[in-house]
Amino acid sequence: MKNITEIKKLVEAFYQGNTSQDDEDFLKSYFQSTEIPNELLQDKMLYLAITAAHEPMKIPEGLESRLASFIDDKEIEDTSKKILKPSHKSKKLYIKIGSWAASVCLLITIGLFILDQRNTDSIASTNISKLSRQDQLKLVKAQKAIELVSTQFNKGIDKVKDVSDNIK
Amino acid sequence: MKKIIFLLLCSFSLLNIHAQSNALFENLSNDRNVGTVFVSKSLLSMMPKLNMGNADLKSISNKLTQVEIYTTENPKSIRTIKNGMRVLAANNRYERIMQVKNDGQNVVFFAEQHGGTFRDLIMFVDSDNEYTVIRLIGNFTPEDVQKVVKGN
Repeated sequence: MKNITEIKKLVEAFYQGNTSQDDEDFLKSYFQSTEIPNELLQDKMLYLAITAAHEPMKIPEGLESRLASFIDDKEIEDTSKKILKPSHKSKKLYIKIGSWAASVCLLITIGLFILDQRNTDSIASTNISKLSRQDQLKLVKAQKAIELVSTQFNKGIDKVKDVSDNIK
Repeated sequence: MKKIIFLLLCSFSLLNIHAQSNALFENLSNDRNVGTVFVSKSLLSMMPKLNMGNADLKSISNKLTQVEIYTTENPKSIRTIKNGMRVLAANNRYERIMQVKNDGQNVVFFAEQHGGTFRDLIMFVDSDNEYTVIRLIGNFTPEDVQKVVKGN
């Protein structure tokens, strides 16, 4: 065991970079012991701080695999974002395709509507032609009757209006 | 008990009034001297396809459920119609809404109304030696009737 003077000399040599590996190991074990004189306490703190900085960092267990999975996750996330958010060019393409599809749908709808109207008209006309002569006459009479009711109704309304205008 | 009897009497009187109005048309349809035409709702739906002239029948034809036309020149049948008209005039369900005397014709309108719409519109036309009754049943407004000829 070295005395305090020798240890001071050794510390001084360490500061100047003149110590061997054995000297440094000795200083390390010495400063890590609990019984250090007060005059060497500052040197202890300084020495331990310097040596700790040079010591290789302990890698936590499983860090590498965790990092690898984190990188993989990030990569998958980025890919999905790319899919969800298309680029400006692909956006334009989507809009073009969408507008074309909408136009085609609209044309088909209009076509079907016109076709349906024609079918309805033709069905109605065939139904009328299928009506018996008696039913056709009934329809004509009903039409004339409704017209007569409307004419007489309007006559009455007009007379009421005339009377109310004269009163005013 | 009194309330129940009162309610029963009211419902009987309402049924009686309804029966009276229907009795007229039943009598007319059974009368050999009266020419009758009944047009059902399904037949009326085809009316716009047969539309002739300037009448606008589209708006009213789908609101009608039945059209009845009665015509007669027989004095006895005319008396039956006039009596039936008096019964209608006394009926609370029907209201005499209009009477027009013009060019030797006497036209009387009776209507059964619910909130501004006609459920039953009956027109009696007395002209020279002929009597005509036209009945429109359905759910339509006075404007629908006016539109037919005016075409507004």
